[in-house]
Amino acid sequence: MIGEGKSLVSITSLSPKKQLAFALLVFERMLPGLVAFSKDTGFDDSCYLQAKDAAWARLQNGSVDQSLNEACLRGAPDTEDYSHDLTSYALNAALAMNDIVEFAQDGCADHITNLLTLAGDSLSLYLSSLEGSVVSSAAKS
Amino acid sequence: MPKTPLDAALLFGTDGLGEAGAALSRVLELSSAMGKTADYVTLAVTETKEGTTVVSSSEKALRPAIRALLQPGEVAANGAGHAEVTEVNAAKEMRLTPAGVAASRGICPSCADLLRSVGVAALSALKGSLFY
Repeated sequence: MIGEGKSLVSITSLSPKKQLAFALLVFERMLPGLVAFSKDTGFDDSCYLQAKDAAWARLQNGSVDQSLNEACLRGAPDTEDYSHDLTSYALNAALAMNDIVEFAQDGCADHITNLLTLAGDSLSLYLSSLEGSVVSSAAKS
Repeated sequence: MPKTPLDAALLFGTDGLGEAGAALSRVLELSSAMGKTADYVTLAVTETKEGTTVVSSSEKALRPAIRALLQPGEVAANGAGHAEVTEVNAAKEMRLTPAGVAASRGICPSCADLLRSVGVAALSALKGSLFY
């Protein structure tokens, strides 16, 4: 399963650039939810798109501005402020980009772990949305 | 000055708060497993008169990290909207009687009004109160 230790060992054995590329590819799969959310609600996703471009450029030895990191975190959508179906997916994508920018700056593998957890959360939320049950017990989860 | 219930709990502790303290402790414990998302997602814990505890969030379903922490006697409530509303609705659906709700972030005025109207106690700080 995504985010479990076994996956992480193989990912963190890659070079930092490959880890960054992997993280960006995961983010690219999360991005459509953020873009659709942005179009429907008027949410400003520009800093995430800018950060994505900067992170891809980082693979070719470009730099990632520290201010993008703060903008990604500060601008992430609060789930109490939006009722849109894609809010959680947009939040996960926003926080994933924050982790990517932080990884580009400090190279700490914890950010890759966090990103994988967020991607796994999006998948889990999608699967939960298919269940339709209002209540689930601890045993069922 | 503490800014969130978690800050306040770390500063002052939750001992001596009785039922409110137990619910608040539990919701903060669960919230601490959410990482950065804890700043954007509200978790709520509802104590019921029947003894079952209902756990929900401001998302449509609990995240896997939270579901993994649920103990026997705790049930996850799914549904759109604020966590407090989801819980009251889920408790009714399960024919349970909600007694009090503690949330990981400030309870908003409309949720506070709803809780008041159905006779459910708010067991944590309201948005705009001392800690916000």
